[in-house]
Amino acid sequence: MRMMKPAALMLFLAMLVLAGDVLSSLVSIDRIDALGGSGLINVGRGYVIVQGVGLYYGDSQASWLFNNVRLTMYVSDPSIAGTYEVTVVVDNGGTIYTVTQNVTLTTSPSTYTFSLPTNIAQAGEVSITVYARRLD
Amino acid sequence: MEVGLRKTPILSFLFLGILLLLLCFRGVFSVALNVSNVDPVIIVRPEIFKFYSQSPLYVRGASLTITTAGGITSVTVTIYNDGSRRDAVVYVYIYDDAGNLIGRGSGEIRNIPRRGTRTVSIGLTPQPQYSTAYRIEVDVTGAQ
Repeated sequence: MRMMKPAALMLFLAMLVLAGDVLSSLVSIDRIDALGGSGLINVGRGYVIVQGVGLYYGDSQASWLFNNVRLTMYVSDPSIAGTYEVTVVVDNGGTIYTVTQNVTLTTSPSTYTFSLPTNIAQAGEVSITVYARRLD
Repeated sequence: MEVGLRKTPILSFLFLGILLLLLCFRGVFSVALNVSNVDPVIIVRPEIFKFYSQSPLYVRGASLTITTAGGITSVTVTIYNDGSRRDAVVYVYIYDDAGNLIGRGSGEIRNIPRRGTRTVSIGLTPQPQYSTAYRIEVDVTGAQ
């Protein structure tokens, strides 16, 4: 019986440590999901709006080639205006191009040009995915 | 259990030793995410535009008309015609992040000149909220 007490105490301590680790893991996973999940990220005070996307060859849209993508963007609330790192991923018929640059977003729509490294012949299916991350 | 521990008290000390090792080196096996470092960074869900073209007609751009209340009322689409003068039909579909169709519309553009562009504004039914729109698809085909 005298040996049972320290063993039980150690078992209790071990369970506490393990429970703490499990709980902290759960909290961490929730946190990562909330930031990186595919659903709407609740920024609390508003969101970045990608109003428009255009494919351009130089300054013209009258071509089946393109070498830059123009995004018209703004924020829905002045409290989240600021500098954002915007990444544009262009999937042109399975060939992926990625461009990242910092832009300053306000509540007024502005158009930003993202230059691509080469002239691209537009494929039948083009996907433009826009990611934004606030920097300040 | 009690008998076993009494016979082998070394086990309890071994257990204590493992516990202390775990406590000392738990940082080696875990990844710490400092919430205070993460909170100021706002990550916005991606917005996806998909353009489906059929040569010689190409979707070159799409722009949403968004009300101050956040509703999308229409989509203005720019089409380029690389062939001879022709008519085109444009379809717009808006999906939420679960893949549900939450807004759609279509429109016709007549007499797009050879190697020229035309824009058309397409009203949506129903008119989804921007906050629920995840993927905007634009599809162009030649008119029959």
